[in-house]
Amino acid sequence: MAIRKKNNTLIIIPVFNEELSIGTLLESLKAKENEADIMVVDDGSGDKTLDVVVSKGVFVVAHPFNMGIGTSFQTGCCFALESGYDYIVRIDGDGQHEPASINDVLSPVKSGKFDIAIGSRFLGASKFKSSFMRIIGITIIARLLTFLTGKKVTDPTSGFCAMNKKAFSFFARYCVDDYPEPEILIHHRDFGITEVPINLMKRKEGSSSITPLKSLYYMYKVIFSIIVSIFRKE
Amino acid sequence: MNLVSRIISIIISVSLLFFIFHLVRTKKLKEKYALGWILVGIGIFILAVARNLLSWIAYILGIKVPINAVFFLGIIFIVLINIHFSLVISNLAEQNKRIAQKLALLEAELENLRAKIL
Repeated sequence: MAIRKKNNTLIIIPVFNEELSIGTLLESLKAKENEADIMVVDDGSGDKTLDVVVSKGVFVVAHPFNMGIGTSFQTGCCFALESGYDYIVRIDGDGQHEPASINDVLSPVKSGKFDIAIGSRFLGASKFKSSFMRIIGITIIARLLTFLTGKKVTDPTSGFCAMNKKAFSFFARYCVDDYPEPEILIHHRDFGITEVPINLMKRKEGSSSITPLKSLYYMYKVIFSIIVSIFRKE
Repeated sequence: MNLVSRIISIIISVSLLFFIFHLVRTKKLKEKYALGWILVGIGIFILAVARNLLSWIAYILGIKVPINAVFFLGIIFIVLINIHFSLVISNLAEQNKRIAQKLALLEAELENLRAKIL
């Protein structure tokens, strides 16, 4: 399905094996009549995800094999840059992010006050429940980043965010694997970043791919890369 | 271990850790592949600092001379990391093949489209 640029905002949805939930999300996005174009980045799904997306008539870029969520997001940023979009919104394909919150996340960026707005699961009245280990992990990373940047960060691993061109062209240039790039927070203090409270919907279909061992490995990668980027020159 | 070999081991482990850190910092090594070497560096450091740890490990493994336990564990590590690299290389070779195929198919499709238009 081809895309014809109608708006100056692009919604990027990175997906990997989400055949059960992606259809519902795309339906509600299309029904909402957002002033935004929609793009799905399929990260080499082995199930019917790609077929579902195509059947909904949504523009999709499919990786030939799995390369991680960071790479998928980067593909989206590269496309947005090349196609001349001014704003992007990144939303997860598993249906946990409410399409209704898109405008909340987008408005601080569109108003020109901030370069990046992150939907935080820990702000406001949202009742985010997760495993004890994950909460601990996210808290450690958030505290570390808050300490290093002097900015209040509550949810650094959130997959729901909006960016302007200045911010997403950074992500289009720099290669990331499967964690949020801490360098943007540490070295680019001129990036205005804010957090917006969002509600998290309960996962309807499928299961999270995160196991305890994987979270430990993820923690190592994020914390190590934060520490390394402190010593990296800009 | 005597004091001299202890100090040498500490120097080696610290240098290894700094070198790995430097490689990641300059983006020559990915965090993913740094993990094994960081664990090795920490392992050597602990063995050098903890006085009787190596003798105890040798005793557990039934090895008479403690330094032989170092060789034994070292060889096991080398075998494991080589298997790991074999897996990584196999995966890269497969992905490389698929990219080349996809590129060739896209080129052919482009050629067909061009022929249709002109």
